[in-house]
Amino acid sequence: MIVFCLADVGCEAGSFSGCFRKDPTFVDLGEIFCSDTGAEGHYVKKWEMPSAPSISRFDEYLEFLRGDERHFYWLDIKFHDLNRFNPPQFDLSDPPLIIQRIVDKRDAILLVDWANPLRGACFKIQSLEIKSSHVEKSEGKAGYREVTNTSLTISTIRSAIKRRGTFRVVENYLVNHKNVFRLDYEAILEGDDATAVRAALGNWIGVSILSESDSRYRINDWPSWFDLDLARSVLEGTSAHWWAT
Amino acid sequence: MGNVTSLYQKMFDAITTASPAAEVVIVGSNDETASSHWRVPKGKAAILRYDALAAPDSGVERAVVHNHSGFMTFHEVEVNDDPPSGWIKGISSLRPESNAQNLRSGSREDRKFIASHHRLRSVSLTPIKNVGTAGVPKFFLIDLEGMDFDITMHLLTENDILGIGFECALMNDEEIISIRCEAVKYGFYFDFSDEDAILIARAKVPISYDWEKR
Repeated sequence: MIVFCLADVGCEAGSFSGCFRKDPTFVDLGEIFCSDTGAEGHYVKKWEMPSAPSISRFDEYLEFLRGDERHFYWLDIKFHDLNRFNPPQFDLSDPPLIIQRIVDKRDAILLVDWANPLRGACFKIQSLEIKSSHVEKSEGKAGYREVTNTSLTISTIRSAIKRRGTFRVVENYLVNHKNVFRLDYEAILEGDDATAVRAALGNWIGVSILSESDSRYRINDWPSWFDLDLARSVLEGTSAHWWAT
Repeated sequence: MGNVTSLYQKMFDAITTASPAAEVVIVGSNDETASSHWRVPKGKAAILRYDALAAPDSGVERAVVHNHSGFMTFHEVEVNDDPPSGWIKGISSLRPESNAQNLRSGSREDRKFIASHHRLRSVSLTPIKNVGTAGVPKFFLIDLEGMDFDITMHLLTENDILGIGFECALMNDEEIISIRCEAVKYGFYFDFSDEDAILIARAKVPISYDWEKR
């Protein structure tokens, strides 16, 4: 059985699959096309090399996984890989081939994003290990201190807007699919309900043994370089205003 | 307490204190009733008007197309036929009583519509970047219905811009946020009301309002 995790880069899909890592029936195949480190993912490495990408080969791969009813295979696919077997297309009535194959077979899809895309964009930039050239440092009396960075803050806001737009496109592809679980990053890791949310997700997948959430993935505050006042003024009066609260 | 100076007053002050003296470039319907709330200081600045949207005559209306490189293209199209359903995409409320049919370019549908309609007479093209006197600071007041977003985004990248006043009422949130991001990037103050908005170049305006808190 297959559970697809569809997410944008920077959703830390690993923090979702990590909730079930102790369950022996749960197999995390990771990002099946490629990983952030540039290494080839499970599907590419085992099924595609050295032949060229083909949707029929991908179908075979999925059939192979579906045939194993003793395990729940977790497949992480990033939004930017959805068009792997066809040219990028923006017509909502004609979803990418990967999506069509998943929907036809009624495979379970977990659709993940940050409820607050601005925090998601911050988190992504944080995790990219900001180079010193991006964050201005000024020498104050107490030594070096980070100051807020206007252009980085603006880029983050733009990135959040783009992120939300991309998510909506993918969400629209899946609007008629019956087997979608939509989950916010914040819901599974933060707040009083997080344990209950993890249990609900496990129940939906069919996995019962839960692991503790990984504290590495938590984001507690706005980064020091992020100019929250500027963000508030840019978002003021729009529906995105709450992002900067 | 936020500063309660209206954006119209800020525009007025920016124009009257500009040095060298600014030009005010008004592009749009030039409908006095619609733009009466803009305070253009008379006698303090040269005022240039560009009538983009002409009055209708015998079923002929004038459309404006902006091709995303700073050109305003004036076309005349026969609009007795209904435009295709996707035609006004992106323009949230083209008033039915308006004398203008505005097309947002970049859309293939728009261009097809124009191409398939009879052009009654050729009209000169006005690159917006050539409007006004080079080297003189310019305050643009634009009123182009659904075109305000594209034109504003373009003007922000031009030199000699003292400020831009435009209508934000028809813009969606994403467009408003994009304009503000671009304004910060190019060093402009911004002030948005429900209806109108202004951007004013920081480097050219010595007066200090509490700009980003209304």
